[in-house]
Amino acid sequence: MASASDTRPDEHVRASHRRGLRARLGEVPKPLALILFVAATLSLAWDVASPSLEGPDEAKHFAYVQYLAETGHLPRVLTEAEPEVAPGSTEEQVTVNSLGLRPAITNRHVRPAWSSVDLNLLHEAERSMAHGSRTNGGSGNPLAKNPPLYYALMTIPYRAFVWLPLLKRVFLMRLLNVLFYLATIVFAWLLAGELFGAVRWKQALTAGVVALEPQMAFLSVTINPDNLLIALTTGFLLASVRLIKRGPSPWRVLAASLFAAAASLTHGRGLVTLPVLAVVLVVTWIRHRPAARGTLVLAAAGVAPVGAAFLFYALFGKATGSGSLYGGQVSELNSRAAGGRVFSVGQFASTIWNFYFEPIVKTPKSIGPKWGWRQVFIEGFYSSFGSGNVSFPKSVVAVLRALTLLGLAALVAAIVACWQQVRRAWPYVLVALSLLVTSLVFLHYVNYRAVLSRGAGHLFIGRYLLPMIALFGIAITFTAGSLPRRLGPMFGAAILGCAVLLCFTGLFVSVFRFYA
Amino acid sequence: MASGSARAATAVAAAVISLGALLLLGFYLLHKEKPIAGTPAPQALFHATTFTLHPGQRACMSSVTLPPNGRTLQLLLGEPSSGNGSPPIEVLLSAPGYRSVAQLPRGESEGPAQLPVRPPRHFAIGTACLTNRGTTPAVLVGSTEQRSRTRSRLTIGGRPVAGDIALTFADSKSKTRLSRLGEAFEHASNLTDRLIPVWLVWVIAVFVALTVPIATVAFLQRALREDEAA
Repeated sequence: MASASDTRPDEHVRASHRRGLRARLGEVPKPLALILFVAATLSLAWDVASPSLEGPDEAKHFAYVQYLAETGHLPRVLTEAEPEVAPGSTEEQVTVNSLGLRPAITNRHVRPAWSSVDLNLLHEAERSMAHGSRTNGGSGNPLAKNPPLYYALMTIPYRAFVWLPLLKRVFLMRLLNVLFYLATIVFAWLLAGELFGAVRWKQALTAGVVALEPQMAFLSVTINPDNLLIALTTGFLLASVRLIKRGPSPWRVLAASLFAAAASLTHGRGLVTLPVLAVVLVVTWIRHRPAARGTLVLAAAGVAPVGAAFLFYALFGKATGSGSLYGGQVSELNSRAAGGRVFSVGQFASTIWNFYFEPIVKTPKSIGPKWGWRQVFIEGFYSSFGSGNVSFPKSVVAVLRALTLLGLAALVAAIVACWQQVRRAWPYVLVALSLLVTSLVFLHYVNYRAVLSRGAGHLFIGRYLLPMIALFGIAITFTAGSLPRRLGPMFGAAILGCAVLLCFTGLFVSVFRFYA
Repeated sequence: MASGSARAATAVAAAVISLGALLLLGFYLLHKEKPIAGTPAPQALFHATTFTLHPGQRACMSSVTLPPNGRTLQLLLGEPSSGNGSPPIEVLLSAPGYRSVAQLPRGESEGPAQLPVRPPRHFAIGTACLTNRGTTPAVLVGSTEQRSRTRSRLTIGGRPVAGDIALTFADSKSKTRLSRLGEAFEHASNLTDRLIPVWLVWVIAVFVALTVPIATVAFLQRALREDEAA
């Protein structure tokens, strides 16, 4: 037995750690703590309101995590035509089949098998599953083209709860996913602090808008790399603004570069942070003009993490039997022909034009389905629940469209009214615009290529705008801040009130879509 | 005590939330509809498949969930082979301790057809059999799509057939969404494998409904007060 003198130093250290943790938690601004509480509460509600594996491509993402966690290998990239049935282990297929989850995903007239007798049937099927039923899901996954960072992180909760049946395991894995959502909110809060100074209501409005964007809360409890991508892109914006504002230091450059590298290792869409990183480094150099040697050190700090990330991805892929980076998608995107059809700049431009301005003037050259800003920026951005096909009632979408257009007009008016202020903040405006433009051009291009190669389909959906959610919050706060002193907070309060209602509406829509 | 700016913002947020909650209640939660009780075999999403039952022939689907509120069964009829519409179709639903027979009359035209059935007292897993009682072939619509596949096994004339004949159970009574919240929460609990029991779903729902609006108003008010104190 240890003597009192032996235990005292340990107890002392533990007590001081406890005090340290308590002190650190106590330093969290109360409004931010309340926003995080709201976000965590909404996530819990969404985890219940949205059935397991019914999120966007969730069954495929889970299959990736499971195969990686069970075997240590990346699943095989599916090169042939995507099958109608999601890939997955026997365990996943048995669950999906027993509860009718697959037809319920895409067909809004279908309900899952939700009764207790269905559950008993699933338990019987689970008991009769052969050994190895969890490990046999690597035969080809269309999402295996995604880089492994997110999936590798999700293997931690997977392994922690592997002893639980699949439905319970997925429920808990989804909850741990919420950490990315909370990180996004904290980054947005800090970003607003950097841009607007320590004006609490502006920080609260920015972070509140991010937390209460209905699709953010929904997505936070689906197994989907977008959650990590959103957090990393927001972190990247924060690190970039700090770098430009405070001047270059190796650590600040490393921070921005690490976020960009991690985003690129999370999803192909994370690659858009790389040109933005270049813009950030150039702007920082122009603003602070470091000496030649300092410039070299900073350039090295900027490039090294990105290079190391790609090297790691290539080596990891090779070691686990996977082929090219991003499943060969990047080289595919750079080729001239797709599916026997040749890339045409005029046609691409026409497709973009029609996306935004078709109701005014339609250009004849565009191809693909009728798919425009209303579907992506309104319906898809605010309310694409379930597997993307569960949405707000039409009347709510119409109100949202009107309010968004009104908000956009208000933003333009605010920019005009505060032009001097905007001009002074040119480096941050440039970074924000470069992220916005790079992302939109990338998404339009990928979508156009998909239409070229498949002849149909649309790969530009509202959820893909969420990595820029902090910019959305900043734009709203900037507009509110440009109003007369007392009106700004009231405008913000109205926005937050509407956002709460949208979150509740989304929850109800999901509950009655899947459970009643 | 809150100052003017914080008070005004709090009042605006509270007013927007209260007014919106009333609209949500009035236009969405109190909206009446005949709810879907279950979809043991859904319609095809993209490519429908037709199944032909010759006179006297029987199609059976096993492992079908029979819901206690499924008072109406909906079938999807294909284009009839004769100009007199579809032949009469007998529907037999059975499960241990339960048996119900209903008949779809002759002459139904192509499209959805509904017939009243007597549901079991509790959810049951059973069999749904459809028999052509007419003299002309009956055409039923279903699916062979992989994405619409269910756990049921279909046999026609005793032989296994790939695909499912589309079957949907609906409640015959219109109900408000609010009144169905209890059953929705029970289903939600089941789909967490009862990790979240029904009572906890209720607790979470009430907790969210109360704390999210209050905490939202509180964080804005707190932030404004901090600004005024600074």
